[in-house]
Amino acid sequence: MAWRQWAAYLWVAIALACAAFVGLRFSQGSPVEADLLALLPPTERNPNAEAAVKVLSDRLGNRVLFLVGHPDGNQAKTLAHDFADRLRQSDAFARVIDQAPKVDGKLVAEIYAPYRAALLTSADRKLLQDPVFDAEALLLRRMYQPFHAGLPTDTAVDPFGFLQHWLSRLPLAQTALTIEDGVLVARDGGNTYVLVLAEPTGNAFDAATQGKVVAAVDAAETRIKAQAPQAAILRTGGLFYGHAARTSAQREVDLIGGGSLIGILILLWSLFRSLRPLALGMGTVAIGIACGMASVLALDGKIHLITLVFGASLIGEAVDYAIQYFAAHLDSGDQWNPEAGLRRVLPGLAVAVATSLIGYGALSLTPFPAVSQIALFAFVGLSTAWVSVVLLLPRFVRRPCGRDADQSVRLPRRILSTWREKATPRLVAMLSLAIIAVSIPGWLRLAPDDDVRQLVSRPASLTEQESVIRRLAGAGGSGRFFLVEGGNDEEALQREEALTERLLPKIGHGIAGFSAISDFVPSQATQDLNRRLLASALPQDKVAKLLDGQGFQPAAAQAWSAALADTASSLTLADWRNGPLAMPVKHQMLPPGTSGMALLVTLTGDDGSLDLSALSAGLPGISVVDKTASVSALFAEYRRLATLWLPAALAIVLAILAARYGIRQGTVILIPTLLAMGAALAAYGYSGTQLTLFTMMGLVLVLGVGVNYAIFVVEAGDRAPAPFAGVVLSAATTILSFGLLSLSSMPALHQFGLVLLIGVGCSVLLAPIALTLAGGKKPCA
Amino acid sequence: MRRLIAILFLAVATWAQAAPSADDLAARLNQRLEQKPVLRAEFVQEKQMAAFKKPLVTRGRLVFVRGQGVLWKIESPLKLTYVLTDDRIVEIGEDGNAQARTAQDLPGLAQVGRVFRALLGAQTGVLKDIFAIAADGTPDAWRLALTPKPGPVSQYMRQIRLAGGRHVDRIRIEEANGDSTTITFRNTAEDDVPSAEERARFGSR
Repeated sequence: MAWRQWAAYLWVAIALACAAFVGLRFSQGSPVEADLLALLPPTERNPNAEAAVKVLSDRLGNRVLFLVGHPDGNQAKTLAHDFADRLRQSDAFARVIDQAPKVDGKLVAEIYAPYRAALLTSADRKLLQDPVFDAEALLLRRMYQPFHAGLPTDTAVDPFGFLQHWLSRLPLAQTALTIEDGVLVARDGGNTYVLVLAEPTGNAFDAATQGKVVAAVDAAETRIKAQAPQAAILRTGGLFYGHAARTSAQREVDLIGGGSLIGILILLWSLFRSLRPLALGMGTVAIGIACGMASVLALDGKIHLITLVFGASLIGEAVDYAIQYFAAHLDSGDQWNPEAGLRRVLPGLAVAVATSLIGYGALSLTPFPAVSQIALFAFVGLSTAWVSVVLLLPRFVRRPCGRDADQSVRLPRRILSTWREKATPRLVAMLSLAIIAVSIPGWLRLAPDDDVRQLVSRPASLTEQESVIRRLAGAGGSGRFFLVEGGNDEEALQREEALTERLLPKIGHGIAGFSAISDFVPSQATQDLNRRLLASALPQDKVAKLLDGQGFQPAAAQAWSAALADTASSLTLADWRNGPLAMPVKHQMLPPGTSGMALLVTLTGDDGSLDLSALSAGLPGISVVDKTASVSALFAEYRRLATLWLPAALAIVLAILAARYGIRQGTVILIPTLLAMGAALAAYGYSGTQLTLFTMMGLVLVLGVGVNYAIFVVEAGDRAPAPFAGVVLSAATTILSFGLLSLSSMPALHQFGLVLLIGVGCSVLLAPIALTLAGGKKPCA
Repeated sequence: MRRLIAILFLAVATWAQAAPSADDLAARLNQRLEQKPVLRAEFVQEKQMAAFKKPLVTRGRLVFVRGQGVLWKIESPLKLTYVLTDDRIVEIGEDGNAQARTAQDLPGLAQVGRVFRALLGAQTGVLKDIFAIAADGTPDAWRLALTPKPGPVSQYMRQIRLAGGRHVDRIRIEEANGDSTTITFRNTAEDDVPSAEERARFGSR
């Protein structure tokens, strides 16, 4: 028996090492991940597309936006300055911007003027190709029109206004805001709003950064509101969502973890009336949690909030193994022998942990980082809690239990005896059939929903503010964009132009606009075409005569002939991307990789109604990147796959049960769980809750966990009420934990919790069916 | 330049803000403006530009209809009509061909529209956002000088000067590059209702 002792010491050492490792990681800054995007798996086969998704989300993720509003325009500007100053003083931000970007119109015109003969808007191209093109009418309009749009150009350099038209189409200000007094403003519902942008010091998903930023913003907002009660301050940014998720997750960890813990302690006390089982039971759970966390931190480096919340609900399941052992202890009375006690419960515990691990193992097959992390945590947590029971409890529970078993289990005994008296196999069969009959209409109402937003919940107050900011500032989008790839700059630009040609007519019909690099730098082919068109429609002699006739100075005609003659200089992407105008759209040009050039065409005001794939069909080198849709498609695929896993998992569980109990009794043990799964699905159908991947994964878990109670019941048999009391206690703790989990605000966890609550609850209620049908016989092994 | 029309009407309305001492005066001008929804005038526009050997002179008529917008009808040296409303500019050629440009095509158009609404709602704070305003004179003979605040407008415009009595009589725009435009208004008349043709022009939007 010495080896057992050594194994126990070794096990305690391992557990302490895990705990120390976890403690160390937490002391070096929180390793808790709150980034909602980190939950999403890579979906794009094209590495450029995945890189583009990351570039865009980083750009949007690590900045926060505010609109400071007030009914009085000047007051709004003053308040915005005050607000920005307060943020600056807070040291939570690396940069606070309340000034409008200085688009230097003169500089823009200077940059493009040398290439003016190569730059035409598509409208002007059409005009020049028109057989009845009237150059004089165009010139007169330019000379006498009372208004002109966009950046003014010098009439002598640009007599027909082609360059001016082209410049005014430049998507320089990708915002619906206007510049006033050097700040960006929008007007809405009688309020004037001023835009303030800020970049936090540190990562937006870091807990410390989030805390500092939110505190600074709240303080500044309070001050401004005290100054001007009519002021309205709207905020948005990934940081605020991250902070909200973290705060609610922490609340949930407290609620689920704390609630489970207190509930379990009360339940344990009610049966055992002794501190020892409480302390030792919780000890095995603590070891499980420490080892689970350590394995996640060691393998993934970080632990996600969602894992922590789910982990909190695992307490109720992990404590089951200890409960079974203590129930045996209670049952034995004076006859207690720790080793014999272990031998008595070990087979049942082994089968129970095996079925649970199959359930969680199936979860780890999903490609979702969040879900496979949950699976890893549960897998390691449960198995180590189980090992702790097997190795440690016999060391610590040496003395016989002083309590009279009969006294403690009066209620469970009554339930058991009532069940034994009333339940005949016939009645049980009828009950089963009734459950199935009631469930069928519910099953028929089941409808799937694979929307990715299932995974994240966003507080309504934040999404409302975001949608107002999006509407007023025109920033942001749906997350859909085009990826344009070419073997070189020229090919990429040409392909992009082919796409924008098709996008242009869609403006105002599903999209408000788009941003494309070729709007700044046309392809060489387009530039050459423009030159040819100008030279043939407006040759030097014709223009010279026209300009002279309208009273232009000779310089204008000279400038025109010089521009036409200069066919060598053209605008190139290589030059332009290093210039000042490229800065705001740098993210639309992916860093040059090994193969050619990749450009992004982003959409503004996308309402999701356009079929982008159909729009770009047949164009080479164009792919539609829609992370939301890709992930949703993946959800659907895995939900369908999960319907295949379920029978597979069933077969494995049945095989394990058959190995211990024989095929007939094994099937009987499985029946309550199958009925429970059916009832859970029916409840979904009746309540109109959509079927998601998480429901299916929850069902796999119901199989792995729910079957435990039938196992425990059959193992306990009708010998004594104490083991049965243990089963009831185990079930109560598990249902308590998962019930609390179903209160989670995270849709994915809520769904898990709900399925587990209904499924495991029914499994427990129906578990005695197995006892009836098995005829109370001891396992054949 | 495209702010010009708006400024023309707004100048009167915003006087109160610019020169508090003339509050009473401005309020009276404001009321006058509000009494009559239609204003018609003849204009002569003279552009002095370095690119041209001699000034460009344009003649035409102007109609302002409160709540609708502005008609800017050039009659010589060519026939061209502009219909300027809150959200679009329509250019109508001699042949009747209309070409519309919306706020989407012209990012600055919304701002012009807002200035119009400010006028109609007598939200006198609006011009101050773009210009520093200096005023002097009496209700019968006043002058305003609008100097753009630092921003995109100041890059191209040095100053706008307005003069008038019961109505705006003269506007002079000095551009940063030395070019200038002078618009003189004559025979300004008020009316209660727009003509059928004017209504049709605005209705075509």
